[in-house]
Amino acid sequence: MRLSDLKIGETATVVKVLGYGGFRRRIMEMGFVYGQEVTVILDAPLKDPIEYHIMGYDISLRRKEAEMIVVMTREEADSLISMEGTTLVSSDDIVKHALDSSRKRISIGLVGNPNSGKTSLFNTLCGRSEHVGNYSGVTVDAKRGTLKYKGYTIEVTDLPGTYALSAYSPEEVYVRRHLIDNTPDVIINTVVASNLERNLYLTTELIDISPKMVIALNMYDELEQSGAKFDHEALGEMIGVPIIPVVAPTGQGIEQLLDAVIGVYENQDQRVRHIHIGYGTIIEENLEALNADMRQHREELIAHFPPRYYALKLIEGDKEIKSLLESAPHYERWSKMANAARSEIETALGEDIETALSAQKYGFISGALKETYTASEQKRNTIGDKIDEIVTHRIWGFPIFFALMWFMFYCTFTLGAYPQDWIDAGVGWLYNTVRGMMQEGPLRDMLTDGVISGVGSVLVFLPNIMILYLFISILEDSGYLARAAFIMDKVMHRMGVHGKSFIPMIMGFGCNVPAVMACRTIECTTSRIITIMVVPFMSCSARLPIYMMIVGIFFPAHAGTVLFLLYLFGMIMAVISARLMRRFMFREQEAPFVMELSPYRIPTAKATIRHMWSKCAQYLRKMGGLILIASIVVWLLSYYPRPAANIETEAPQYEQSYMGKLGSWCQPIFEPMDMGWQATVALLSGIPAKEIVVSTMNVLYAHPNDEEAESEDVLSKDVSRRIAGSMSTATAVAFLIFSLLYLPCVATIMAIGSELNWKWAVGSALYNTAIAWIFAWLAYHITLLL
Amino acid sequence: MIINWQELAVAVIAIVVAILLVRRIWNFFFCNKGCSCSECDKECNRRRVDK
Repeated sequence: MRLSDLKIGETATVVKVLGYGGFRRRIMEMGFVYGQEVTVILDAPLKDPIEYHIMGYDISLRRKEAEMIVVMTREEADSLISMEGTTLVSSDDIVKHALDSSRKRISIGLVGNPNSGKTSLFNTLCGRSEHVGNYSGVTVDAKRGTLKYKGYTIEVTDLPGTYALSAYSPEEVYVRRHLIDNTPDVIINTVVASNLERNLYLTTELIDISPKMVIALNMYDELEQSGAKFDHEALGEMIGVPIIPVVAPTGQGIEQLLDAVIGVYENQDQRVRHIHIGYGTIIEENLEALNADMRQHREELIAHFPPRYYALKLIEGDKEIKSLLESAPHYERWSKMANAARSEIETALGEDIETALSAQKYGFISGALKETYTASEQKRNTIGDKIDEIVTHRIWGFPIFFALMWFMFYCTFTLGAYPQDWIDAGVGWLYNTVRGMMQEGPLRDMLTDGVISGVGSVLVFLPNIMILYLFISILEDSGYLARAAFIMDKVMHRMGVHGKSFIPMIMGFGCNVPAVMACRTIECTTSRIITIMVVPFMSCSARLPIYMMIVGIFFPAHAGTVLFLLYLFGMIMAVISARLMRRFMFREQEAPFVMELSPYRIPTAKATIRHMWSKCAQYLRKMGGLILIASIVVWLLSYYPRPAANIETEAPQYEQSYMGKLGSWCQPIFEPMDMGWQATVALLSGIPAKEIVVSTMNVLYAHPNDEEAESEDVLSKDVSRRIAGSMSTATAVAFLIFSLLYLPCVATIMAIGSELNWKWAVGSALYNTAIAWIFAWLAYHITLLL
Repeated sequence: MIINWQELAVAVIAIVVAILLVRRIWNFFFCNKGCSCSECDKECNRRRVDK
């Protein structure tokens, strides 16, 4: 009997709590555990919630929650004992014995694709004890049977074969309803070994609803005979579900299967772990908002499935789930959020939501099988398979990846150079025009040397940022980035993190903040911490203008290659840091996870341009806000105090300015690298946002040197010339290395703080800066030797 | 005393920039809790006006 069936004043003993995940845990934490007595105190006027007395205190539960708790009354215990024919006198003994027998009763739902050998498995499990039951109102039927094994009574329900758990066909609806209404203790998912890809699709759906599950890998003998190799244990570990090979007709593996079922039921199987199927950045971003909102109002959900599953199904437009949630107070809001998320996903991906989700699920399966399954003679036919053979090849995979990276940075520099020159010419024209139109004075200097020179110097790099984002968007949307993560998996494993960590790291090329947040998808805590800590080494797009400026001045002939080497060096530093952290801080082994390999798709121009534009718009907004403010502040501090007209000083005015004094004060930090005070101040100014380094350099170098004071030609080329004159090549290399590695912007530090804690955030800033200084110093001295 | 209008304009701009800077820093650390995007900034300013 369920707890919700008890009447006021009745007492019963808790047998078990049904349901999965967080809900089950919460109910058990309240005290609803095996053997506890519970009494109904009162019903609310509308029969919901109900107040219970348990473990010496009163607690109210919603009816939906009470439905998930299995209890046994004294009458039930008596009837069970009399059925068994056991003679017991003491009341306590009767209840205890009845509870024990009830506790050792496991209900199993047999779920699988049609023709996956479920009936065959059912017959082997239950022998002759099965009976066929017709269920009115549906066109499908289910068989039920029982068996006894190692003191347990196992009730098996053979459910109709289904390919998925959506609400499209009666079978699908029926199976899902069974899982909701009957809530089996353990699900056995039958998977045909000879057709893993299609069969595992249903498994991904079952993983989403988070049940206790065991996979019966049926017809395993056929797989062995075909010569194919399948590491089912590795796959089981990756997806957190025990996989037991069986041959249902002969009974091979049945005992191991039942042992696994008992292990899972008793929470003793170490392989059981709840994972999430990753649906890719676009779907996950849209899913997360709704999921978070539903999590906050978890009590409004029917407790059988996790909020993430409900959020996913609402976005999918599942009618059955909609009708289940209709009565929830927040349903209207959820529905609106789901509709918005759906249209956002469909627009971004250029396909309907069902296609997008199933493509991601097949991507998950493809990734899982790529690591664990080797087909024998099965020829690979699809274009995607052929491309995969090349780009994930164990020898060619890496050169292809690095060649693509090099090409990306080469194009960023060379293609970007043309529009860059046009913008530069525009900024120069504006600079000269304003200078020519206005009378000499501080306002003119502020507008030209501060605003135009500062903001203009950052604006100049907009085309390069656009090209970089264009490439990242294309690589991401086409599915190549997932392959890159796949080939990096082995390297990453050696370094102590999972290949999955590579995706946030690549995202870090765009911006470190979303990259840090993307680490939430890494389930293993230690891997997540390590990845978050090394993400700042991945050079974000805000650092690109710094490289473009310095590389353009000092290495114009090999700009693309130097850019590529800088990014590569950042990656190497990230990987080495990860290895060190795993070696000295987190010695435990991380759990294996599936690398999703989404199918290849041709990126739509709309989605790519949208993605690229959103990033560029963010860059432009930053220029109108933070960079504009920073340019004016830097100019003010470098312009004032003005020397009195009658006082002649030996040092140039700007060295006497506040900024000059600050620079001179900080200069000893970079003295070993022969860095001037302007470069020192510029690096410090990059803490709020890295682009400010460039605007600061331009503002500070916009002040002509004494001998140039009479010249009116102060275009950006002259700023470049002054920078070239103020630092050697070795200093420039040190400047680049320091910019690459030093502490990330404040927004990233805050993101690390909120994702981990403030100790990690401060630690990250200190570690990055120390590493940056050491490597900048080394780079300076090595370059001097060359 | 002759007032240099350019000096005056620079002083006004400096005050405005200082206010903007302080507000931004305040929003960043105490309102948006680490987000520097313009949407969050607008949201913070709106909340301040509502109060």
